[in-house]
Amino acid sequence: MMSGSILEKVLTGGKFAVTAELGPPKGADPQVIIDKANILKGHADAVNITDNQTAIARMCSMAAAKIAIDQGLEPIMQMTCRDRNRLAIQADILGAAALGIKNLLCLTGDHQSFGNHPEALGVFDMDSVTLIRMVKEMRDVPQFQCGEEISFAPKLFIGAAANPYADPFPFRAQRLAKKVDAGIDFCQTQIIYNVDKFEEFMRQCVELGVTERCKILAGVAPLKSAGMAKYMKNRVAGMDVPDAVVERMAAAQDAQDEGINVCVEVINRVREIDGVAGVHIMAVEWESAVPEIMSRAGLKPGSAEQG
Amino acid sequence: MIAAEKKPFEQIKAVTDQFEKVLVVGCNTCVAVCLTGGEKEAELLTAQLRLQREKDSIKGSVETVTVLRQCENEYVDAIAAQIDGSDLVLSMACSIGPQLIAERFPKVRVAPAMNTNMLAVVKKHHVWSEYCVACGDCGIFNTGGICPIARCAKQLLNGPCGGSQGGHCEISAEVPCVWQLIYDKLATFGLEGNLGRIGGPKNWSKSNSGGPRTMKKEGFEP
Amino acid sequence: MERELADSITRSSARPVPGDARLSPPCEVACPIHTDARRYVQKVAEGYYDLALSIIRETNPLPQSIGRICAHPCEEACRRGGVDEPIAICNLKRVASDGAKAAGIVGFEPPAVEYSTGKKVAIIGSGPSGLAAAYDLALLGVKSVIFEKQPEAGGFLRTGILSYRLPKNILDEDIDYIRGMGVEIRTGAGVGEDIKFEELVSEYDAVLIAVGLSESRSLPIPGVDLPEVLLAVPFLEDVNAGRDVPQLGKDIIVIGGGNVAIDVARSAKRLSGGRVTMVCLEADHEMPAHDWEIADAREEGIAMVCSQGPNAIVGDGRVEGLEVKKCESVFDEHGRFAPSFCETELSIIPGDTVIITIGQMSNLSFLTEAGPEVNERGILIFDRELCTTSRRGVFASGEVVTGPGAAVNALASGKKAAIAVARYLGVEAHSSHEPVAIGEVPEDVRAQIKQAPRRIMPVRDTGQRITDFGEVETGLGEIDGRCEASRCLLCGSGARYSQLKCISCLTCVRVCPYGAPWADGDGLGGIDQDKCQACGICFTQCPAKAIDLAVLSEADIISGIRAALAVDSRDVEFGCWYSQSRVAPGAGFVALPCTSRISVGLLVGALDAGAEKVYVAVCSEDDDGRFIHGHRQTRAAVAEARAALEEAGIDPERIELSLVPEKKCMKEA
Repeated sequence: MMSGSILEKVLTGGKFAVTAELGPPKGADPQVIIDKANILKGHADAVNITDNQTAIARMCSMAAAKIAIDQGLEPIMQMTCRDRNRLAIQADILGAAALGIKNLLCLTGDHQSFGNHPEALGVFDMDSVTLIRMVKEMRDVPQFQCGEEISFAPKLFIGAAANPYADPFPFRAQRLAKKVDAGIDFCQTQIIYNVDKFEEFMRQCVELGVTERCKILAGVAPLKSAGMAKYMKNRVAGMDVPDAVVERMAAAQDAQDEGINVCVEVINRVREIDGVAGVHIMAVEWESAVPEIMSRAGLKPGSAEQG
Repeated sequence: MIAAEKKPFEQIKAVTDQFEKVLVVGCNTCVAVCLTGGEKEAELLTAQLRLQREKDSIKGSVETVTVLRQCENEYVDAIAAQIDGSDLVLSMACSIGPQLIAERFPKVRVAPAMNTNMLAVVKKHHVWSEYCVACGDCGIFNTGGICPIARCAKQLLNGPCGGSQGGHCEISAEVPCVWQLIYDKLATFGLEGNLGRIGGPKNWSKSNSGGPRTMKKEGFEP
Repeated sequence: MERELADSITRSSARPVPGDARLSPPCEVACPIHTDARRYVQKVAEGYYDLALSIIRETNPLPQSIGRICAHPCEEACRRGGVDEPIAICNLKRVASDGAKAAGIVGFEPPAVEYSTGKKVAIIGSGPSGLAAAYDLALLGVKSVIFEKQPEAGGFLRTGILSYRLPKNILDEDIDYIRGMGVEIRTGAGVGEDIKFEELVSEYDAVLIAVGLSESRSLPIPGVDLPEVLLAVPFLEDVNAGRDVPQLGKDIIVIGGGNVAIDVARSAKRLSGGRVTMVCLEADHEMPAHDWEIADAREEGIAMVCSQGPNAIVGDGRVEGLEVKKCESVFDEHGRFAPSFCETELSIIPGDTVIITIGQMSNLSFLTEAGPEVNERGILIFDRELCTTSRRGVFASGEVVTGPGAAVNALASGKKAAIAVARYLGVEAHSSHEPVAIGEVPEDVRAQIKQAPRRIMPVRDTGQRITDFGEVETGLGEIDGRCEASRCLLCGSGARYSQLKCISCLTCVRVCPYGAPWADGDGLGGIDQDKCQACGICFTQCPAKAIDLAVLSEADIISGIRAALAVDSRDVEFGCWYSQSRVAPGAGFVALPCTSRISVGLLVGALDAGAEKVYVAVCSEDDDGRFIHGHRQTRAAVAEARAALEEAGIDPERIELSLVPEKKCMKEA
């Protein structure tokens, strides 16, 4: 066991894992997190706590993760390269481990121009790959990036993001393999609507031996409206939303209901694909949809199955 | 070359209005080559300022002179008479020019007419793109002769990130994804597998982040 | 319009041309006297006829006469010929002189000459070469006295060429100008008759023999002594002197196919009102007369019988016809005159008069045993380079030594002799430079030059003009003249760059529509004058002000702006000298070959120099002007200048772009 986290136990035990997402508030009130945690508790094996997502300043992932732990919900802390240099990152990792955080998702981060502080300096001292390697060496050697020994290793289950839909497509599985070489234990993919392309991606991952060394969780998300579908299709880099999905949402009587259905259909298809070890449900600012999705999909978190 | 462009006239005027004898100094190297600050542009700015000052009843005069480069003492000293005779030197060189003039002529006020943007390549007539950020530790051999520090919005050494789509960067459709370019380039030599190797993290101490730099050379000294 | 950077750097086949090499247009090179045709044509285009005339006079002592009769080799060489048709360079001389006269600025006041050398020269013959020598010697301070045996001066220009081509009063004006410089012309003074050659040799510091070819050759064929058989030279002398020619009948046969034969035929037509037939050895395509002369003669109804040689003049006591034999070839394999005939293919051409126009010879009977010597064929022994004869101090020029040729060649010969004579007399004289010609217009550039037809010289109605000796051509006139002059490509007068100021930024390489500037790895290599059309775009775009146009510099434009502001109006108009029309009639006018020559800095600078308002004339987008790419640069410059004004808080309307109201020059002929 790397970290002994619930997520790790579920995945290494071969059970189908379910993770979800929790966005911290744009303020200092811990109650927001407490409320969201209570919605998601029992429905997910672990929950991503986002880190200034889309470069919008929010309560930091580490603090929110601790609050979640106190509510009995296992967090996956996120760390981006945009806002911190390697010194700050290493300090935060030691701090996170000390607070009992056991899962860490290593990301490059959206460019600051997307967010609410576009004039900020983008740090990008590291990128996601070198971040992953650094965290792994902190855990396993254990040493700092400069080579100095760490007195007490942070025990973290290391994850990263994977995007089957970004370009160049032939390179995406290879890039995931690179992250695996760097040291990830699990990864979560970008939201899937184009299942065929995802299938091809998974086939390549299997071929590269990625799935033997890394647990892949398929990202899914319920659409709230046709507008949201179009926005994701046209304005979000790295997303593939087929026209058929947009049309379905537009034609639906009850958009939200249809959105959940679409999500459930994707879940049902991807859980059959070889190498998919779980799903990551991103119900952005719609945490309450998670229980409904799981119910319609007949899903229980892997940890629940364990009893 | 160093690519700089003229500040908006409003900004320039806000400074020049405060001075009586203004000297507009053009530079005939980088900024002339990128068509923004050479002799011709200096004459145009001078004419604009004169017309504006006449209209706004600002007392004084605006003169102009252009030297070959403003990053070298000798060229800047060559116009000492004109500089000493003015209250404000408005330099059309990149930021190095006004700084050197301020150093060589401590008693005169100096203002930049330009915003210095980048180290650029000429893509085609009238279009310049940033190709280098002077990081001090050039590793482009491994990336097919293409620089990801200058040309990747996130300075990735292990790109592309998940935002690369259709060959362009997530921040704008006008910006090519340099990692797509690097991938394609290495693929032409059958070397795309090299991208499996982890690159970095970068040694930033050699860049400006490590402190302002001075380059020295050994050899004959006069 | 943009060139790929790599393409221009590797394209090294363009001939290297340093920025300031002097390459001449082919018209100037082809002209035997190297007249600066480009410059005078440009002045005609601008409407400065007096300046045009003075430029012609720099090399040509007989501007009006030559402007009527020249063989114009310049037009054959004209680069515009490769685009559509050559410029009517010869006709434009007349536009200049007619224009100067019409404006009252005649330009006919000859300069006051100081004959400071104290030397004097005797010139025998007042034809074109003698007159040219006297003119050039005068400019060198050497006095000449011309001895002319005829009662009036001009040589063959007067006695051989008819008024319908060169009116006598025009010839008089040219000769009077030369007299006005202090050149003495003594008419009725034949050397050998009225004055002895040896006297000239002893009294003068040098002697120039310029007697031309004043004797007609005859034919040793039966019937040549019949009364109605005339020789060309005496016939033409009679016609030109206004004397009757009683032998002239109604059915005239002219033997000969050259220019003189054409003149004889056309004169005979006018005098007789009858039928005139030319008979020559040469085939139709080989006739030695100029094409345009042959065309004129045919238009006047003169018949031409080719490939026939004169065998005998037949008739019983009077001319009844000419027996001819078929001529099979005129020249041998070496190109020498060696006609071969079929003696058995004979025919008779009926006629009542025969005029023999087969060539001329000189009359050197005035020479003594003291020399100079002649060779076995009776031709003066002559050094072509030094213009000397075998006798020291005796020189020669013109057809007497060159053989038959065009009048302009005689001028060249006389000018060359003048230099030789001056040097002999110890007077410093420099021969004119031998200009180097620019190359052909490359094909891709040719495609970008707007086609415009050549203006045709108007002529009098054929039926009317053959009844008198009045001038046939009536002159192009001012509008057509300026239009024709505007077609000139101004070869070689384009962009020049200073290697000192050039920063090799490659802007000129990128913006030139014709690919004239080129670069290699060391920077700008040169501006190819074969390609450059002097449109001015690089001139306006160069950030280092390293480029000027040979035909127009920035200093020219600035002084033009100052001059315009010195006029009453506070407004300035930049306009085109080809369009001949104004967008702002009250404004001070700065004329340019194209308003594409204006840079942003000069537009704003005009306001800074004190103009209230600046007008810029521009051609419309589809009917572009003289330079098809020019108007885009004009529009861009005006837009940029207006933005610069607005940015500075100045009313951008102070610079106004206006469509040219009417473009006279680009109208179809």
